[in-house]
Amino acid sequence: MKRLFLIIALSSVAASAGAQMERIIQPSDLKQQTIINEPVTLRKGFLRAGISMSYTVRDKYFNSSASREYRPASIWGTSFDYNLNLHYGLSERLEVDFIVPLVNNRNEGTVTTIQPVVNTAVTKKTVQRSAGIGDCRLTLLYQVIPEKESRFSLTLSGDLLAPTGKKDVSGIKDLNNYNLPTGEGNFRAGAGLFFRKILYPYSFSGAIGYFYNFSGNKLIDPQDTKSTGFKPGNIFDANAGFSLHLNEWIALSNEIGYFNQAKGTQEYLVARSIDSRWNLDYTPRLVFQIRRFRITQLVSIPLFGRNMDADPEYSMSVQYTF
Amino acid sequence: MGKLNCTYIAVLFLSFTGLVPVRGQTSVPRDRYTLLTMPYNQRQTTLYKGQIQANAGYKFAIRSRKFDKEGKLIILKDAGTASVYHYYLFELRYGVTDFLELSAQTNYMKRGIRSVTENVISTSAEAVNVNKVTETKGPGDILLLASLRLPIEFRHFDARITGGAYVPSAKYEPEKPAHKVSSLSTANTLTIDYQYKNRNGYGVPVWLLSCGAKVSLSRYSLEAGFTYRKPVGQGESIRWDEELTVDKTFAYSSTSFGYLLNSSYDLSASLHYQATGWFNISLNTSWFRSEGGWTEYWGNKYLNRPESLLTIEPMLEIQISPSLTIYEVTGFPVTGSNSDGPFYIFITLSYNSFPFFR
Repeated sequence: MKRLFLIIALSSVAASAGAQMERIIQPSDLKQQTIINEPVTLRKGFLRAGISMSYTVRDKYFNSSASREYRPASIWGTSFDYNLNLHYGLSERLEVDFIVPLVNNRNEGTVTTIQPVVNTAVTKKTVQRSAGIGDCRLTLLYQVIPEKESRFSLTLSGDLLAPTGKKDVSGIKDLNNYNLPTGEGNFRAGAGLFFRKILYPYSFSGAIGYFYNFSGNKLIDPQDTKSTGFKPGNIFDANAGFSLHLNEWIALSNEIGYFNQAKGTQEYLVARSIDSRWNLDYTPRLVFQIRRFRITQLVSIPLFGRNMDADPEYSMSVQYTF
Repeated sequence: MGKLNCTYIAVLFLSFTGLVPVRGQTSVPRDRYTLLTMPYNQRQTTLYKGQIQANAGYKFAIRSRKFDKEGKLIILKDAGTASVYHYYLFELRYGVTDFLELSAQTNYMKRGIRSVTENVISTSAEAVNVNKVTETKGPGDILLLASLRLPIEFRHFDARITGGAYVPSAKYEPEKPAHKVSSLSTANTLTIDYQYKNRNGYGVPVWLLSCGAKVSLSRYSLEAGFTYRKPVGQGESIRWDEELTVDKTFAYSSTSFGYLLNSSYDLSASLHYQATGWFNISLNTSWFRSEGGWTEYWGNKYLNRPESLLTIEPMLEIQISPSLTIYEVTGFPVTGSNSDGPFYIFITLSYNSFPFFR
């Protein structure tokens, strides 16, 4: 009986030793996880830095009747923007993000003025451009419900946009040739919720956010002689996404996004209102995870909308996790 | 001797169709996974027997430059007429045998070209702003092709010949324009937005003949091709005229006119480097030229201007999985004449399968 007990005891020790064999996960492995299997917020002490570049050409817009149409006048408008972004894991559930946009917009037009009475035709070019630092953004993300195999994750975000960009029109040569502002000129604060569920190799996500725009004042129009008070409408946005691993290091993400901005005001002698606007867009995204490098290519395609640009935007970003 | 020739031709024909396979070079394992993951430098110029390939591509082009008759570069954004171009490609290919491939493709495109805005001031109190957008939008014709390659297993050298035709399936005649007149705040100031609505498609069958060859040495490959397109005959389309009526609306009328499309040819060459099994990088160059067509105006035939364009295209091919491959091409115009010189990005997702292969 004693022998039998010893045999069983030794066998159980061997069995438990076998059951506790685990693969040791190195921090470097964790830094190579993809958008699908990494936690929603960065792990404690992890730092991710990157740069993104986006490009769009102004060609079409959604008019006030929510129809898409070409911009009729001779115009060539481009946006070639860069974002420098830093993400840092303050704890296993708390992340702070800091984004510095570098704005580069250009609108060019050509108008020929014909006066048959005096037999003249004069062609003039108009240029409005903006280049410089835009409004910087600080975001805090906290995992209220961390992700487990059996449940989804829920993350709360707080967001602050500071008017670090130039807010006034400047360098005014005439009514059609001047420098555009690089920032909005007002503070904006917002909060949002983000949920995600991983069913490897797939993940499903959804988010909602609300952003309150504070009042500000600026030179809005090149004809203005003094700053004018304004308040942009508050913003509600929501999105839903589905991602999948095409292989171990390439993920394809699909997202439908909704954006809605309420009516704003400009406090001229006779107050002017800024029309409300909305759009629905689709964003497919390819994300290459090459060790600690993450390369993302995306195109944002506006599907429906009102009082907004209707042009696709192309973006590419490179990030590295330290 | 004549009987021997007949036998030789018959065997050659059967070998092309794959019924009599010729294996002059070293054989490699032919399982489905191997064929689907075959890198570019080891891949033949047509699909393998039983392979289906579906391609969906999107090209975004920025038409900000053009070349004039003398080849002088014109910056269109300075001229006020720059525009963008969206092009979608759909293609289905099938390998009937290892040496014969059938394919069909079509496209959808849209673009709007703006003219310089004109502000006509007739008196101190009357002015008219005139904007003009010429839109081209719609599905293109269906191109049906058959390709034959050398009846040997590919190792270092391959060649193919391709023939086919564009079937005029698209509605090519322009739609009725959608001009509109709007009044500004002052009673005698008008804005007239002219919007012409062209469609895609040739309107007549166009036949196509193409040939190409490929040489692979280790990780490097060189591929060259020639394509010739010629319309079967002349076609007929309509041209819309407009008249502004006293109640500030437009009345339209159409007149028909004859045309003959230009014949065109492309010469292309590309140098490829197979960095790893799943990643191929290449530099392509292509020369396009078209000429010989005419367009009828007021009963007279006017020769179309000959067009030419030389383009350089860096390209990436990334095999994501055995079934999925991504191609990314960036195009830069180098020189040309009477032609737009767009910069473009062309991304194609390719799905491959052997549905009948066990």
